[in-house]
Amino acid sequence: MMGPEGFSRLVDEQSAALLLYARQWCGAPEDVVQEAFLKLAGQVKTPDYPVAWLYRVVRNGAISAARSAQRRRRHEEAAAGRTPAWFIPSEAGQLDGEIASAALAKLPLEQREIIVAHLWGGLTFEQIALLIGSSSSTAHRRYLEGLTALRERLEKPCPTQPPIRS
Amino acid sequence: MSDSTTDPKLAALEKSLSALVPAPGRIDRDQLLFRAGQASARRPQRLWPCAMALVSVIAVGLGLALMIRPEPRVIERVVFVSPESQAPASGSTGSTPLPNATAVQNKTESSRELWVSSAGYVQQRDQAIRWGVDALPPSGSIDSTAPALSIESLLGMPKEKLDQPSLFPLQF
Amino acid sequence: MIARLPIWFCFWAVIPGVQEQAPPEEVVRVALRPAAAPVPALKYQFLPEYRNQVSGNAVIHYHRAGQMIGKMPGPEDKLWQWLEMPSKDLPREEGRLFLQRYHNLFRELELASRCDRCDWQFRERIRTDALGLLLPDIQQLREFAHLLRLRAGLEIADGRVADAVRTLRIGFAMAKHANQSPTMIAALVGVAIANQMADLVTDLIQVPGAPNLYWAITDLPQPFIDLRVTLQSERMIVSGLFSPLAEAGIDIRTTPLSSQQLQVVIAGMGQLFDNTHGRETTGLRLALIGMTAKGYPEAKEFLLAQGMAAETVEAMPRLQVVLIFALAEYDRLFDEMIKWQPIPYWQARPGMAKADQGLREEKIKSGELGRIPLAAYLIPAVQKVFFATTRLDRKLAALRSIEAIRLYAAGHDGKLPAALSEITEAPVPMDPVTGKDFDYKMEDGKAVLSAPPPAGEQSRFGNYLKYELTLTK
Repeated sequence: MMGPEGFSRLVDEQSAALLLYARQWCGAPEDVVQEAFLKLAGQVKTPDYPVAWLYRVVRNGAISAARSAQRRRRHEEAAAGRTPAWFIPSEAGQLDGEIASAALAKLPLEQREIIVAHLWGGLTFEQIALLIGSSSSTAHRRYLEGLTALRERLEKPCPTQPPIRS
Repeated sequence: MSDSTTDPKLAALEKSLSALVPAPGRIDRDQLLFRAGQASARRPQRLWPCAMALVSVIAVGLGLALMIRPEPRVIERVVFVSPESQAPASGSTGSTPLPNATAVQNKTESSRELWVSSAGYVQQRDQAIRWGVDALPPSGSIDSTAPALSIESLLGMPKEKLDQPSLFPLQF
Repeated sequence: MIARLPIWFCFWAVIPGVQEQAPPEEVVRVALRPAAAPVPALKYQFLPEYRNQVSGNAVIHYHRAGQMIGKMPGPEDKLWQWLEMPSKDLPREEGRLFLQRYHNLFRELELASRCDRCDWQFRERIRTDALGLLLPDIQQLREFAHLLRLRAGLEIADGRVADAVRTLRIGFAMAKHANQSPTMIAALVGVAIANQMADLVTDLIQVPGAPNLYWAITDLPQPFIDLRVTLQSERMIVSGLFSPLAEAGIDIRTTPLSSQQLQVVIAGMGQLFDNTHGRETTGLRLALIGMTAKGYPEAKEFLLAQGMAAETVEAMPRLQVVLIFALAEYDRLFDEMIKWQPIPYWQARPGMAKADQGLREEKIKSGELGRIPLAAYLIPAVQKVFFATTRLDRKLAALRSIEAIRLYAAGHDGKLPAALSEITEAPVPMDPVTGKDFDYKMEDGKAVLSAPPPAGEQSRFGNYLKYELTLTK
């Protein structure tokens, strides 16, 4: 059974990545991730792979939260406020976090969630396959497709001027 | 080289992306750990189910013994110590009756279960108020140790009555 | 749409159908057609009329429906996408095919809707099972509501108004039945279901040829969800905890507890506050010793002031004396909250805010003065629940107003009124949140009907309303 030290280490190591993962669905990832950790704490037997377990619980929770947050829209949406940053500001010489976020956001969800789970969650493709209900080869294929699309986007400059209306 | 790809450009991108650190968000770590402590204390322990099972067996045994032996002739009275009256309840034979010890034992045990269940309800209620009913678990996953409300109990009928045609023959 | 965004939001993360940022203003656009009142006026009803009801307990049918529903589709299933679509965009054939398997379930739900009562038998079970074990029955109603929503959406998309009214009637009745379970969670489930049905009414009135539903909506109870019994039942959480002792003839407020009984109470409090799962820990024992030492003088003084004999107080364990005081404080603070329930929200709000403040102060005092924090832990956020029910009533009142506008348009050459005061065809309701008229103005050929957040609150999703109404042919 996981002790307090193991649990708090899991919180420290995984909560940011889990938040990033939950953000792919919902606007209140903190609640979803928090609930996942509390569910883990309430388990009689610690799951064999607690990190993968957390990702599954977060995924289900984020999808549910997205459904409950969604409302029927019969109107055009006004300009939005800022989204919370996905990454902490990068150091000089590193890939810019905002640019990476923007490029990631344009990917289809099925590619994006696999990239997030693998790169920042550390999940294997076998674990991701169980998470998404598919095969590891499919998970891997979507991962590569997403990375390829990301590479293409990141090689294009981000527009810095508003489009000129004629 | 990456485990995921043999393409050096993609591997380089992986490395660049991996260097980004996800933003920590607004999770209150201390509060989370405190609540996790509460959650972990709520989970059933291995020792306590065994102890509770043993106590239950003893309680059931005592209960069966009560059922088998003849009713005692002692008249039960319950003495309330209250500001209004210090006298025993009317009908006293002059002796000092005591509440049935086993009944009190059983009642206090069931009181313990009520506290457990109520704690669960309070938590779910407060979550529903805060986040809406969609934050509640779906019906299938709610842990319930009580028997489901049965149709026969609602109808006051024995189980075999369920096989009869519907009581409400209205057609739509 | 991308062109309308400020360009420095190039990292805008848009997931189809899901908002991630702080919510923009939500405006509901409604395309109206003039419609006079139907004849007879209550030709359409959203709750079964008395003469159409049958004597019976709806719970029986909900249970049967529960046995038919099977496993609900997983989160990735199309059902959830359909439920978020406007009715007009629903894939009708696919949706109808999906719902075929639930034919018998819908029959049971309709039978339930016609029952003249819905007795969950909670009052008896609360005393033995406590509230935590009684929720699955109510939770299942939410799943039924999802299916009703899809069915009504398809009927609306097909223009089958009478069928849609019938389905919504089942849904509104189910919401009322949830309210007949005396738990706060059940009341909130009822609010959620009724809100979903009300949203579908907004779609329904836009169907070409849709009848005017002013009187059908007006016929719904006001308030729709009644909190009186709900709030009173919450008190049973506390009284229910001690009911086994009471059944053994032990009144915790007057009968000195034995050492064994005190241990049970301590362990139980541990479940509520410290979650020591039925046994003491050193930490809880120390905390209770501390509370008792600190809180006993105040508690003893209280009991003596209440008229309890000094020798009775002295005979009680000190912890029990402190607990009795905590129970009395719980009653006092709880009543301060729930006494506002019969009063209209807009009048009750300041009083409830004050009661809420009192509860917050109690939480702090409990720590400072060594009081057992029963009130702090057990009294729910009543004000939020009250607002949730009033918000539903606000939506229904807005719908009535919109239908009153359709009535006006039917009698005035298809024109929108310049002000709500011009409408004489039917009374235009007030906003139950503010106690004032809805805001109404004409803007660029359309009407804007709105209601602001409660006084002193910032706009946030759900605490305001805004409809843009246009007349169409």
